[in-house]
Amino acid sequence: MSKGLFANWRFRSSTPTFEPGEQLEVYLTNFDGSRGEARVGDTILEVEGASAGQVDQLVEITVDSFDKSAHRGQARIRSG
Amino acid sequence: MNQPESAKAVTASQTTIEFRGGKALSALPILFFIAWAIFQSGLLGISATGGLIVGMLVGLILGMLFVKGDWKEYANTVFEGMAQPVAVTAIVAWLWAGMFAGTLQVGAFVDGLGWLAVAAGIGPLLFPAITFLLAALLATGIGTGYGTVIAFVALFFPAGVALGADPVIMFGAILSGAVFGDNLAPVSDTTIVSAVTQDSDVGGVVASRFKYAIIAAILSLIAYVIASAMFSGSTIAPEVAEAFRAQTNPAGLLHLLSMGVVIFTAIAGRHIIEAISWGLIVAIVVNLVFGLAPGTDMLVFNVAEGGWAAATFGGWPLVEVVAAADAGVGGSLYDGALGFAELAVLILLVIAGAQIMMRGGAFHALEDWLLGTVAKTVRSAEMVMVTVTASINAAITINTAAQIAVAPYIATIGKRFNINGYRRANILDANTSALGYIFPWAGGVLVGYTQMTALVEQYDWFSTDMVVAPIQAWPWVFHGWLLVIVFLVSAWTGFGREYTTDRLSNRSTTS
Repeated sequence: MSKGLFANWRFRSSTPTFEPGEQLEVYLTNFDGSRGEARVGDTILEVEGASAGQVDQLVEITVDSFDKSAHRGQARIRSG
Repeated sequence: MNQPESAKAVTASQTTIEFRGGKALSALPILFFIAWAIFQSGLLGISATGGLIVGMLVGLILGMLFVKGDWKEYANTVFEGMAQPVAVTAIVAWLWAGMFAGTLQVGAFVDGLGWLAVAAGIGPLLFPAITFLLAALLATGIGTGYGTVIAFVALFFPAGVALGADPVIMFGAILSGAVFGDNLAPVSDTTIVSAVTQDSDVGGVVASRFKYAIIAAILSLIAYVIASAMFSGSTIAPEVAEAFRAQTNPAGLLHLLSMGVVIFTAIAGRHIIEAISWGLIVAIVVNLVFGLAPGTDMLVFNVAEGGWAAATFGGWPLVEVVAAADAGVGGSLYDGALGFAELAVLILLVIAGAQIMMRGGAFHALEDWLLGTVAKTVRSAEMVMVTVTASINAAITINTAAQIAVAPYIATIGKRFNINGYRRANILDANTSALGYIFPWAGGVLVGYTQMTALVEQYDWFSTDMVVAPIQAWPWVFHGWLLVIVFLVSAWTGFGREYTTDRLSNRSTTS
Protein backbone atom coordinates (compact mmCIF):
# COMPACT_ATOMS: atom_id res chain seq x y z
CA MET A 1 0.00 0.00 0.00
CA SER A 2 2.79 2.44 0.92
CA LYS A 3 4.41 1.80 -2.45
CA GLY A 4 1.02 2.43 -4.01
CA LEU A 5 0.61 5.73 -2.19
CA PHE A 6 3.92 7.04 -3.47
CA ALA A 7 3.76 5.50 -6.93
CA ASN A 8 3.39 7.58 -10.07
CA TRP A 9 4.48 10.94 -8.62
CA ARG A 10 5.63 12.01 -12.07
CA PHE A 11 4.71 14.12 -15.05
CA ARG A 12 3.49 11.94 -17.93
CA SER A 13 3.96 13.05 -21.50
CA SER A 14 0.89 13.83 -23.57
CA THR A 15 2.57 11.92 -26.42
CA PRO A 16 3.69 8.53 -25.01
CA THR A 17 6.11 6.52 -27.14
CA PHE A 18 6.10 2.80 -27.88
CA GLU A 19 8.61 0.28 -29.21
CA PRO A 20 8.10 -2.13 -32.12
CA GLY A 21 7.10 -5.53 -30.77
CA GLU A 22 5.51 -4.03 -27.66
CA GLN A 23 2.22 -5.67 -26.69
CA LEU A 24 -0.48 -3.38 -25.35
CA GLU A 25 -4.09 -3.34 -24.19
CA VAL A 26 -5.84 -0.19 -25.37
CA TYR A 27 -9.29 1.15 -26.05
CA LEU A 28 -9.92 1.28 -29.80
CA THR A 29 -10.94 4.91 -30.26
CA ASN A 30 -11.92 5.08 -33.94
CA PHE A 31 -12.69 2.92 -37.01
CA ASP A 32 -12.87 4.45 -40.48
CA GLY A 33 -14.32 1.47 -42.34
CA SER A 34 -11.05 -0.31 -43.07
CA ARG A 35 -8.60 0.49 -40.30
CA GLY A 36 -8.87 1.10 -36.60
CA GLU A 37 -7.20 3.76 -34.52
CA ALA A 38 -6.12 3.76 -30.89
CA ARG A 39 -5.40 7.21 -29.52
CA VAL A 40 -3.19 7.13 -26.42
CA GLY A 41 -2.98 10.69 -25.17
CA ASP A 42 -2.07 12.60 -28.33
CA THR A 43 -0.22 9.64 -29.83
CA ILE A 44 -2.00 7.76 -32.63
CA LEU A 45 -1.60 4.03 -33.26
CA GLU A 46 -3.13 2.81 -36.52
CA VAL A 47 -4.54 -0.66 -35.86
CA GLU A 48 -4.84 -3.31 -38.60
CA GLY A 49 -7.35 -6.10 -38.21
CA ALA A 50 -9.84 -4.18 -36.07
CA SER A 51 -13.61 -4.13 -36.58
CA ALA A 52 -16.25 -1.44 -36.08
CA GLY A 53 -17.70 -3.30 -33.11
CA GLN A 54 -14.45 -2.93 -31.18
CA VAL A 55 -14.64 0.88 -30.92
CA ASP A 56 -14.63 1.93 -27.24
CA GLN A 57 -13.65 -1.63 -26.29
CA LEU A 58 -10.32 -2.82 -24.90
CA VAL A 59 -8.30 -4.68 -27.51
CA GLU A 60 -4.92 -6.42 -27.40
CA ILE A 61 -2.48 -5.10 -29.99
CA THR A 62 1.15 -5.54 -31.03
CA VAL A 63 3.12 -2.46 -32.13
CA ASP A 64 4.79 -3.00 -35.52
CA SER A 65 6.52 0.34 -35.97
CA PHE A 66 6.64 3.72 -34.26
CA ASP A 67 7.75 7.18 -35.39
CA LYS A 68 8.75 9.10 -32.28
CA SER A 69 8.94 12.47 -34.01
CA ALA A 70 5.44 12.20 -35.50
CA HIS A 71 3.94 10.47 -32.44
CA ARG A 72 2.37 7.88 -34.74
CA GLY A 73 2.73 4.16 -35.08
CA GLN A 74 1.36 1.05 -36.74
CA ALA A 75 -0.04 -1.84 -34.80
CA ARG A 76 -2.23 -4.89 -35.35
CA ILE A 77 -4.81 -6.76 -33.37
CA ARG A 78 -3.19 -9.65 -31.57
CA SER A 79 -4.82 -12.97 -32.31
CA GLY A 80 -5.09 -15.90 -29.98
CA MET B 1 -20.72 5.68 3.12
CA ASN B 2 -20.83 1.93 2.90
CA GLN B 3 -23.40 2.00 0.15
CA PRO B 4 -22.04 0.50 -3.02
CA GLU B 5 -25.62 -0.04 -4.16
CA SER B 6 -25.90 3.67 -4.85
CA ALA B 7 -23.67 3.18 -7.86
CA LYS B 8 -26.50 1.26 -9.48
CA ALA B 9 -28.85 4.22 -9.28
CA VAL B 10 -30.36 5.71 -12.38
CA THR B 11 -27.66 7.26 -14.53
CA ALA B 12 -28.00 10.01 -17.08
CA SER B 13 -30.42 7.98 -19.08
CA GLN B 14 -32.15 8.39 -22.36
CA THR B 15 -34.01 11.57 -23.19
CA THR B 16 -37.67 11.05 -22.39
CA ILE B 17 -39.03 14.56 -21.81
CA GLU B 18 -39.20 17.13 -24.60
CA PHE B 19 -39.06 20.81 -23.77
CA ARG B 20 -40.28 23.80 -25.73
CA GLY B 21 -37.15 25.80 -26.48
CA GLY B 22 -34.83 22.79 -26.61
CA LYS B 23 -32.97 20.44 -24.30
CA ALA B 24 -31.30 23.27 -22.39
CA LEU B 25 -34.69 24.15 -20.87
CA SER B 26 -34.54 20.91 -18.87
CA ALA B 27 -31.91 22.63 -16.71
CA LEU B 28 -34.44 25.37 -15.81
CA PRO B 29 -35.59 23.97 -12.42
CA ILE B 30 -32.01 23.59 -11.14
CA LEU B 31 -30.81 26.92 -12.58
CA PHE B 32 -33.86 28.69 -11.15
CA PHE B 33 -33.11 27.14 -7.76
CA ILE B 34 -29.47 28.32 -7.87
CA ALA B 35 -30.55 31.82 -8.86
CA TRP B 36 -33.10 31.79 -6.02
CA ALA B 37 -30.45 30.58 -3.56
CA ILE B 38 -28.04 33.33 -4.59
CA PHE B 39 -30.78 35.97 -4.37
CA GLN B 40 -32.17 34.76 -1.04
CA SER B 41 -28.96 33.79 0.70
CA GLY B 42 -26.42 36.07 -0.98
CA LEU B 43 -28.30 39.30 -1.69
CA LEU B 44 -31.08 39.30 0.92
CA GLY B 45 -28.97 37.60 3.58
CA ILE B 46 -31.73 35.10 4.46
CA SER B 47 -30.26 31.66 5.07
CA ALA B 48 -33.48 29.77 5.87
CA THR B 49 -33.60 26.29 4.35
CA GLY B 50 -37.40 26.49 4.16
CA GLY B 51 -37.10 29.35 1.67
CA LEU B 52 -34.86 27.25 -0.55
CA ILE B 53 -37.52 24.51 -0.54
CA VAL B 54 -40.00 26.98 -2.00
CA GLY B 55 -37.39 28.06 -4.56
CA MET B 56 -36.93 24.49 -5.76
CA LEU B 57 -40.69 23.84 -5.80
CA VAL B 58 -41.33 26.94 -7.90
CA GLY B 59 -38.45 25.91 -10.19
CA LEU B 60 -40.02 22.48 -10.72
CA ILE B 61 -43.38 24.07 -11.54
CA LEU B 62 -41.81 26.57 -13.97
CA GLY B 63 -39.94 23.76 -15.72
CA MET B 64 -43.17 21.84 -16.22
CA LEU B 65 -44.72 24.76 -18.13
CA PHE B 66 -42.15 24.26 -20.90
CA VAL B 67 -42.80 20.53 -21.37
CA LYS B 68 -44.20 19.48 -24.73
CA GLY B 69 -47.23 17.19 -24.65
CA ASP B 70 -48.29 15.17 -21.63
CA TRP B 71 -46.96 16.51 -18.31
CA LYS B 72 -47.35 13.10 -16.66
CA GLU B 73 -43.84 12.00 -17.66
CA TYR B 74 -42.42 15.12 -16.02
CA ALA B 75 -44.34 14.42 -12.82
CA ASN B 76 -43.18 10.81 -12.82
CA THR B 77 -39.58 11.94 -13.26
CA VAL B 78 -39.89 14.08 -10.12
CA PHE B 79 -40.84 10.92 -8.21
CA GLU B 80 -38.13 8.91 -9.93
CA GLY B 81 -35.50 11.44 -8.85
CA MET B 82 -36.67 11.61 -5.24
CA ALA B 83 -36.65 7.81 -4.96
CA GLN B 84 -32.96 7.51 -5.83
CA PRO B 85 -30.68 5.91 -3.23
CA VAL B 86 -28.23 8.86 -3.27
CA ALA B 87 -30.70 11.26 -1.69
CA VAL B 88 -31.92 8.80 0.90
CA THR B 89 -28.34 7.84 1.76
CA ALA B 90 -27.49 11.45 2.56
CA ILE B 91 -30.61 11.89 4.68
CA VAL B 92 -29.89 8.74 6.66
CA ALA B 93 -26.37 10.01 7.37
CA TRP B 94 -27.73 13.32 8.65
CA LEU B 95 -30.29 11.71 10.97
CA TRP B 96 -27.82 9.28 12.53
CA ALA B 97 -24.92 11.73 12.73
CA GLY B 98 -27.29 14.34 14.18
CA MET B 99 -28.35 12.05 17.03
CA PHE B 100 -24.76 10.98 17.69
CA ALA B 101 -23.26 14.49 17.67
CA GLY B 102 -26.09 15.83 19.84
CA THR B 103 -25.54 13.10 22.42
CA LEU B 104 -21.80 13.81 22.59
CA GLN B 105 -22.65 17.50 22.91
CA VAL B 106 -24.85 17.05 26.01
CA GLY B 107 -22.14 14.71 27.33
CA ALA B 108 -19.65 17.61 27.62
CA PHE B 109 -17.40 16.50 24.76
CA VAL B 110 -16.99 20.15 23.78
CA ASP B 111 -15.78 20.92 27.31
CA GLY B 112 -13.36 18.00 27.01
CA LEU B 113 -11.97 19.34 23.73
CA GLY B 114 -11.66 22.76 25.33
CA TRP B 115 -9.73 21.27 28.24
CA LEU B 116 -7.39 19.45 25.86
CA ALA B 117 -6.81 22.58 23.77
CA VAL B 118 -6.05 24.68 26.85
CA ALA B 119 -3.80 21.99 28.37
CA ALA B 120 -1.90 21.60 25.08
CA GLY B 121 -1.64 25.37 24.68
CA ILE B 122 -3.58 25.38 21.40
CA GLY B 123 -4.94 28.85 20.83
CA PRO B 124 -6.93 30.50 18.04
CA LEU B 125 -3.90 30.49 15.74
CA LEU B 126 -3.66 26.71 15.50
CA PHE B 127 -7.19 25.59 16.37
CA PRO B 128 -8.61 25.82 12.80
CA ALA B 129 -5.63 23.96 11.30
CA ILE B 130 -5.93 21.19 13.88
CA THR B 131 -9.69 21.09 13.35
CA PHE B 132 -9.08 20.57 9.63
CA LEU B 133 -6.63 17.77 10.37
CA LEU B 134 -8.94 15.94 12.79
CA ALA B 135 -12.04 16.43 10.61
CA ALA B 136 -10.06 14.98 7.69
CA LEU B 137 -9.07 11.97 9.81
CA LEU B 138 -12.62 11.39 11.07
CA ALA B 139 -14.12 11.75 7.58
CA THR B 140 -11.52 9.36 6.18
CA GLY B 141 -12.33 6.88 8.93
CA ILE B 142 -16.12 6.95 8.80
CA GLY B 143 -16.48 7.80 5.12
CA THR B 144 -19.23 10.39 5.44
CA GLY B 145 -18.34 14.01 4.94
CA TYR B 146 -21.86 15.14 5.92
CA GLY B 147 -21.65 13.23 9.19
CA THR B 148 -18.25 14.77 9.87
CA VAL B 149 -19.57 18.28 9.26
CA ILE B 150 -22.44 17.66 11.69
CA ALA B 151 -20.17 16.23 14.40
CA PHE B 152 -17.50 18.91 14.07
CA VAL B 153 -19.90 21.86 13.90
CA ALA B 154 -21.63 20.52 17.02
CA LEU B 155 -18.41 19.80 18.91
CA PHE B 156 -15.23 21.44 17.61
CA PHE B 157 -16.81 24.62 16.26
CA PRO B 158 -18.08 25.95 19.63
CA ALA B 159 -14.83 24.97 21.36
CA GLY B 160 -12.76 26.79 18.74
CA VAL B 161 -14.95 29.89 18.73
CA ALA B 162 -14.95 30.02 22.54
CA LEU B 163 -11.16 29.92 22.49
CA GLY B 164 -11.08 32.88 20.09
CA ALA B 165 -10.79 31.27 16.66
CA ASP B 166 -12.52 33.03 13.77
CA PRO B 167 -15.95 31.35 13.19
CA VAL B 168 -15.75 31.65 9.39
CA ILE B 169 -12.27 30.10 9.23
CA MET B 170 -13.39 27.37 11.64
CA PHE B 171 -16.36 26.50 9.40
CA GLY B 172 -14.10 26.50 6.34
CA ALA B 173 -11.66 24.16 8.09
CA ILE B 174 -14.45 21.71 8.99
CA LEU B 175 -15.82 21.73 5.43
CA SER B 176 -12.27 21.18 4.15
CA GLY B 177 -11.86 18.13 6.36
CA ALA B 178 -15.11 16.72 4.99
CA VAL B 179 -13.87 17.24 1.42
CA PHE B 180 -10.66 15.37 2.24
CA GLY B 181 -12.53 12.40 3.71
CA ASP B 182 -15.19 12.22 1.00
CA ASN B 183 -12.42 12.22 -1.57
CA LEU B 184 -10.06 9.70 0.03
CA ALA B 185 -12.02 7.42 2.39
CA PRO B 186 -12.24 3.83 1.11
CA VAL B 187 -15.73 3.55 2.63
CA SER B 188 -17.00 6.87 1.22
CA ASP B 189 -19.87 6.44 -1.23
CA THR B 190 -18.21 8.89 -3.62
CA THR B 191 -15.02 6.79 -3.62
CA ILE B 192 -17.01 3.67 -4.38
CA VAL B 193 -19.10 5.32 -7.11
CA SER B 194 -16.01 6.80 -8.77
CA ALA B 195 -14.28 3.40 -8.79
CA VAL B 196 -17.28 1.38 -9.98
CA THR B 197 -18.23 3.77 -12.80
CA GLN B 198 -14.65 3.97 -14.11
CA ASP B 199 -13.95 0.20 -14.14
CA SER B 200 -11.56 0.40 -11.19
CA ASP B 201 -11.03 -1.24 -7.82
CA VAL B 202 -11.49 0.82 -4.64
CA GLY B 203 -8.00 0.04 -3.28
CA GLY B 204 -6.40 1.18 -6.51
CA VAL B 205 -8.26 4.48 -6.72
CA VAL B 206 -7.52 5.34 -3.07
CA ALA B 207 -3.81 4.62 -3.47
CA SER B 208 -3.57 6.57 -6.72
CA ARG B 209 -5.47 9.62 -5.46
CA PHE B 210 -3.40 9.97 -2.31
CA LYS B 211 -0.83 12.16 -4.06
CA TYR B 212 -3.35 14.78 -5.13
CA ALA B 213 -5.14 14.78 -1.76
CA ILE B 214 -1.99 15.08 0.33
CA ILE B 215 -0.54 17.95 -1.74
CA ALA B 216 -3.78 19.92 -1.38
CA ALA B 217 -4.06 19.02 2.33
CA ILE B 218 -0.54 20.16 3.24
CA LEU B 219 -1.10 23.48 1.46
CA SER B 220 -4.50 23.83 3.21
CA LEU B 221 -3.00 23.17 6.62
CA ILE B 222 -0.45 25.94 6.09
CA ALA B 223 -3.15 28.22 4.68
CA TYR B 224 -5.33 27.80 7.80
CA VAL B 225 -2.45 28.86 10.06
CA ILE B 226 -1.71 31.88 7.87
CA ALA B 227 -5.40 32.83 7.60
CA SER B 228 -5.84 32.55 11.38
CA ALA B 229 -2.86 34.84 11.88
CA MET B 230 -4.14 37.38 9.37
CA PHE B 231 -7.86 37.42 10.09
CA SER B 232 -8.86 37.34 13.69
CA GLY B 233 -12.54 38.09 13.33
CA SER B 234 -13.71 36.42 16.51
CA THR B 235 -16.45 38.28 18.29
CA ILE B 236 -16.03 36.36 21.51
CA ALA B 237 -16.00 38.58 24.59
CA PRO B 238 -13.07 38.06 27.01
CA GLU B 239 -15.42 37.15 29.86
CA VAL B 240 -17.15 34.53 27.70
CA ALA B 241 -13.82 32.99 26.74
CA GLU B 242 -12.83 32.97 30.41
CA ALA B 243 -16.13 31.34 31.40
CA PHE B 244 -15.59 28.61 28.76
CA ARG B 245 -12.07 27.97 30.05
CA ALA B 246 -13.46 27.68 33.56
CA GLN B 247 -16.00 25.03 32.57
CA THR B 248 -13.60 22.88 30.54
CA ASN B 249 -13.72 19.32 31.79
CA PRO B 250 -11.37 16.45 30.96
CA ALA B 251 -14.16 13.94 31.67
CA GLY B 252 -15.80 14.97 28.38
CA LEU B 253 -12.89 13.32 26.60
CA LEU B 254 -14.39 9.96 27.60
CA HIS B 255 -16.39 10.40 24.42
CA LEU B 256 -13.23 9.82 22.42
CA LEU B 257 -14.27 6.23 23.11
CA SER B 258 -17.66 6.84 21.47
CA MET B 259 -15.99 8.36 18.39
CA GLY B 260 -13.40 5.58 18.34
CA VAL B 261 -16.16 2.98 18.23
CA VAL B 262 -17.69 4.65 15.16
CA ILE B 263 -14.36 4.93 13.36
CA PHE B 264 -13.30 1.38 14.24
CA THR B 265 -16.55 -0.26 13.16
CA ALA B 266 -16.67 1.81 9.94
CA ILE B 267 -13.09 0.87 9.04
CA ALA B 268 -13.96 -2.75 9.86
CA GLY B 269 -16.38 -2.54 6.96
CA ARG B 270 -19.67 -2.22 8.82
CA HIS B 271 -22.47 -0.14 7.35
CA ILE B 272 -22.41 3.50 8.48
CA ILE B 273 -25.84 3.11 10.15
CA GLU B 274 -24.46 0.24 12.20
CA ALA B 275 -21.21 2.07 12.99
CA ILE B 276 -22.91 5.24 14.23
CA SER B 277 -25.56 3.25 16.11
CA TRP B 278 -22.82 1.50 18.09
CA GLY B 279 -21.14 4.84 18.78
CA LEU B 280 -24.47 6.27 19.92
CA ILE B 281 -25.10 3.38 22.30
CA VAL B 282 -21.61 3.78 23.80
CA ALA B 283 -22.14 7.55 24.12
CA ILE B 284 -25.44 7.07 25.99
CA VAL B 285 -23.84 4.54 28.36
CA VAL B 286 -20.82 6.83 28.96
CA ASN B 287 -23.13 9.78 29.69
CA LEU B 288 -25.17 7.79 32.22
CA VAL B 289 -22.40 5.78 33.90
CA PHE B 290 -20.01 8.72 34.35
CA GLY B 291 -22.75 11.22 35.14
CA LEU B 292 -21.93 13.44 32.16
CA ALA B 293 -25.61 13.89 31.27
CA PRO B 294 -28.90 12.67 32.74
CA GLY B 295 -31.20 10.55 30.62
CA THR B 296 -33.56 13.49 30.11
CA ASP B 297 -30.80 15.40 28.28
CA MET B 298 -30.92 12.69 25.64
CA LEU B 299 -34.63 11.91 25.51
CA VAL B 300 -37.43 13.58 27.41
CA PHE B 301 -41.22 13.54 27.20
CA ASN B 302 -42.41 16.94 28.38
CA VAL B 303 -45.96 16.44 29.61
CA ALA B 304 -48.34 19.36 30.10
CA GLU B 305 -49.04 20.07 33.77
CA GLY B 306 -52.51 19.76 35.20
CA GLY B 307 -53.65 16.91 32.98
CA TRP B 308 -54.26 13.21 33.48
CA ALA B 309 -50.92 12.30 31.87
CA ALA B 310 -48.98 14.55 34.23
CA ALA B 311 -50.70 13.06 37.27
CA THR B 312 -50.15 9.49 36.09
CA PHE B 313 -46.65 9.59 34.56
CA GLY B 314 -45.06 12.51 36.43
CA GLY B 315 -41.93 11.22 38.16
CA TRP B 316 -41.36 8.39 35.71
CA PRO B 317 -37.90 8.23 34.09
CA LEU B 318 -37.59 10.44 30.99
CA VAL B 319 -40.86 12.20 31.80
CA GLU B 320 -40.96 15.82 32.95
CA VAL B 321 -44.01 17.89 33.80
CA VAL B 322 -43.89 21.30 32.17
CA ALA B 323 -46.13 24.27 31.40
CA ALA B 324 -48.70 23.42 28.71
CA ALA B 325 -46.97 25.66 26.17
CA ASP B 326 -43.69 23.70 26.52
CA ALA B 327 -45.18 20.20 26.06
CA GLY B 328 -43.43 18.00 23.51
CA VAL B 329 -40.57 15.58 22.97
CA GLY B 330 -36.98 16.75 23.49
CA GLY B 331 -33.41 15.70 24.16
CA SER B 332 -30.37 15.16 21.97
CA LEU B 333 -31.88 12.23 20.05
CA TYR B 334 -34.88 14.36 19.10
CA ASP B 335 -33.06 17.64 18.43
CA GLY B 336 -30.17 15.92 16.67
CA ALA B 337 -32.34 14.10 14.17
CA LEU B 338 -35.18 16.60 13.69
CA GLY B 339 -32.82 19.47 12.97
CA PHE B 340 -32.35 18.07 9.47
CA ALA B 341 -35.98 17.54 8.53
CA GLU B 342 -36.22 20.64 6.30
CA LEU B 343 -32.90 19.95 4.64
CA ALA B 344 -34.03 16.39 3.90
CA VAL B 345 -37.04 17.71 2.01
CA LEU B 346 -34.88 20.20 0.12
CA ILE B 347 -32.37 17.57 -0.98
CA LEU B 348 -35.13 15.28 -2.26
CA LEU B 349 -36.46 18.14 -4.39
CA VAL B 350 -33.01 19.08 -5.70
CA ILE B 351 -32.39 15.50 -6.78
CA ALA B 352 -35.77 15.58 -8.54
CA GLY B 353 -34.65 18.72 -10.41
CA ALA B 354 -31.38 17.03 -11.39
CA GLN B 355 -33.32 14.05 -12.73
CA ILE B 356 -35.42 16.39 -14.88
CA MET B 357 -32.20 17.82 -16.33
CA MET B 358 -30.98 14.31 -17.19
CA ARG B 359 -34.25 13.09 -18.69
CA GLY B 360 -34.61 16.33 -20.64
CA GLY B 361 -31.28 15.87 -22.38
CA ALA B 362 -29.32 18.90 -21.16
CA PHE B 363 -26.48 16.60 -20.11
CA HIS B 364 -26.35 14.87 -23.50
CA ALA B 365 -26.22 18.22 -25.28
CA LEU B 366 -23.34 19.30 -23.06
CA GLU B 367 -21.43 16.07 -23.69
CA ASP B 368 -21.83 16.28 -27.47
CA TRP B 369 -20.58 19.85 -27.48
CA LEU B 370 -17.61 19.08 -25.28
CA LEU B 371 -16.55 15.99 -27.20
CA GLY B 372 -17.00 17.64 -30.55
CA THR B 373 -15.47 21.05 -30.01
CA VAL B 374 -13.40 21.37 -26.86
CA ALA B 375 -11.64 18.09 -26.02
CA LYS B 376 -9.20 18.02 -28.95
CA THR B 377 -6.03 16.99 -27.11
CA VAL B 378 -5.43 14.91 -24.02
CA ARG B 379 -4.60 18.08 -22.10
CA SER B 380 -7.79 19.86 -23.11
CA ALA B 381 -9.77 16.65 -22.55
CA GLU B 382 -8.55 16.42 -18.96
CA MET B 383 -9.17 20.12 -18.40
CA VAL B 384 -12.72 19.58 -19.66
CA MET B 385 -13.17 16.56 -17.37
CA VAL B 386 -12.10 18.63 -14.34
CA THR B 387 -14.15 21.73 -15.10
CA VAL B 388 -17.30 19.90 -16.20
CA THR B 389 -17.26 17.61 -13.16
CA ALA B 390 -16.79 20.60 -10.89
CA SER B 391 -19.51 22.69 -12.52
CA ILE B 392 -22.06 19.85 -12.68
CA ASN B 393 -21.51 19.32 -8.98
CA ALA B 394 -21.87 23.02 -8.28
CA ALA B 395 -25.34 22.73 -9.82
CA ILE B 396 -26.52 19.45 -8.33
CA THR B 397 -25.05 20.14 -4.85
CA ILE B 398 -24.98 16.55 -3.58
CA ASN B 399 -21.67 15.11 -4.63
CA THR B 400 -22.70 11.46 -5.04
CA ALA B 401 -25.64 12.44 -7.24
CA ALA B 402 -23.43 14.68 -9.36
CA GLN B 403 -20.92 11.86 -9.74
CA ILE B 404 -23.50 9.39 -10.95
CA ALA B 405 -24.78 11.94 -13.45
CA VAL B 406 -21.42 12.86 -14.92
CA ALA B 407 -19.65 9.48 -14.63
CA PRO B 408 -20.65 8.10 -18.08
CA TYR B 409 -19.25 11.21 -19.79
CA ILE B 410 -15.98 11.06 -17.89
CA ALA B 411 -15.66 7.43 -18.97
CA THR B 412 -16.41 8.31 -22.60
CA ILE B 413 -14.07 11.30 -22.87
CA GLY B 414 -11.30 9.53 -20.92
CA LYS B 415 -11.42 6.34 -22.97
CA ARG B 416 -11.14 8.35 -26.21
CA PHE B 417 -7.62 9.26 -25.04
CA ASN B 418 -6.90 5.93 -23.30
CA ILE B 419 -6.72 7.60 -19.89
CA ASN B 420 -6.86 4.72 -17.45
CA GLY B 421 -9.62 4.04 -14.92
CA TYR B 422 -7.71 5.25 -11.87
CA ARG B 423 -6.96 8.66 -13.34
CA ARG B 424 -10.58 9.03 -14.54
CA ALA B 425 -11.96 8.01 -11.14
CA ASN B 426 -9.66 10.48 -9.41
CA ILE B 427 -10.67 13.42 -11.60
CA LEU B 428 -14.33 12.48 -11.09
CA ASP B 429 -14.21 12.08 -7.32
CA ALA B 430 -11.91 14.94 -6.32
CA ASN B 431 -13.88 17.61 -8.11
CA THR B 432 -17.30 16.42 -7.04
CA SER B 433 -16.13 16.05 -3.43
CA ALA B 434 -14.65 19.55 -3.45
CA LEU B 435 -17.59 21.45 -4.89
CA GLY B 436 -20.10 19.73 -2.62
CA TYR B 437 -18.80 21.76 0.30
CA ILE B 438 -18.16 25.22 -1.12
CA PHE B 439 -21.18 27.01 -2.56
CA PRO B 440 -23.96 28.31 -0.29
CA TRP B 441 -26.57 25.96 -1.78
CA ALA B 442 -24.32 22.88 -1.45
CA GLY B 443 -25.59 20.06 0.77
CA GLY B 444 -22.43 20.03 2.89
CA VAL B 445 -22.58 23.77 3.62
CA LEU B 446 -26.30 23.74 4.40
CA VAL B 447 -26.00 20.77 6.74
CA GLY B 448 -23.26 22.58 8.68
CA TYR B 449 -25.28 25.77 8.82
CA THR B 450 -28.34 23.88 10.07
CA GLN B 451 -26.30 22.32 12.87
CA MET B 452 -24.75 25.69 13.70
CA THR B 453 -28.06 27.46 14.20
CA ALA B 454 -28.89 24.88 16.88
CA LEU B 455 -25.83 26.00 18.87
CA VAL B 456 -27.57 29.27 19.74
CA GLU B 457 -30.06 27.37 21.87
CA GLN B 458 -27.46 24.93 23.15
CA TYR B 459 -25.05 27.45 24.69
CA ASP B 460 -25.87 30.65 26.57
CA TRP B 461 -22.74 32.35 25.32
CA PHE B 462 -23.20 31.37 21.65
CA SER B 463 -24.85 34.35 19.99
CA THR B 464 -26.41 34.61 16.52
CA ASP B 465 -23.55 36.78 15.25
CA MET B 466 -21.27 33.75 15.66
CA VAL B 467 -23.37 31.75 13.18
CA VAL B 468 -21.65 31.62 9.79
CA ALA B 469 -24.13 32.20 6.95
CA PRO B 470 -23.77 29.74 4.03
CA ILE B 471 -22.76 32.59 1.70
CA GLN B 472 -19.75 33.43 3.91
CA ALA B 473 -18.06 30.05 3.78
CA TRP B 474 -16.93 29.67 0.16
CA PRO B 475 -13.60 31.54 0.20
CA TRP B 476 -12.40 29.59 3.25
CA VAL B 477 -12.86 26.00 2.10
CA PHE B 478 -9.16 25.84 1.23
CA HIS B 479 -8.88 22.10 0.69
CA GLY B 480 -11.84 22.14 -1.71
CA TRP B 481 -10.39 24.93 -3.86
CA LEU B 482 -6.85 23.55 -3.69
CA LEU B 483 -8.00 20.09 -4.75
CA VAL B 484 -9.60 21.57 -7.87
CA ILE B 485 -6.47 23.64 -8.54
CA VAL B 486 -4.21 20.58 -8.06
CA PHE B 487 -6.28 18.73 -10.67
CA LEU B 488 -6.27 21.63 -13.12
CA VAL B 489 -2.47 21.82 -12.81
CA SER B 490 -2.23 18.02 -13.13
CA ALA B 491 -4.36 18.06 -16.27
CA TRP B 492 -2.20 20.82 -17.76
CA THR B 493 1.20 19.35 -16.82
CA GLY B 494 0.43 15.62 -16.93
CA PHE B 495 1.25 15.15 -13.24
CA GLY B 496 0.02 11.72 -12.16
CA ARG B 497 -1.52 10.98 -15.56
CA GLU B 498 -1.77 7.28 -16.41
CA TYR B 499 -2.72 5.68 -19.70
CA THR B 500 -4.22 2.25 -20.16
CA THR B 501 -0.88 1.30 -21.67
CA ASP B 502 0.87 2.19 -18.39
CA ARG B 503 -1.47 0.20 -16.20
CA LEU B 504 -4.96 -1.17 -16.54
CA SER B 505 -7.29 -0.59 -13.64
CA ASN B 506 -8.22 -3.89 -12.05
CA ARG B 507 -11.79 -4.18 -13.25
CA SER B 508 -11.08 -3.41 -16.91
CA THR B 509 -11.44 -6.45 -19.15
CA THR B 510 -10.44 -7.06 -22.73
CA SER B 511 -13.36 -7.73 -25.03
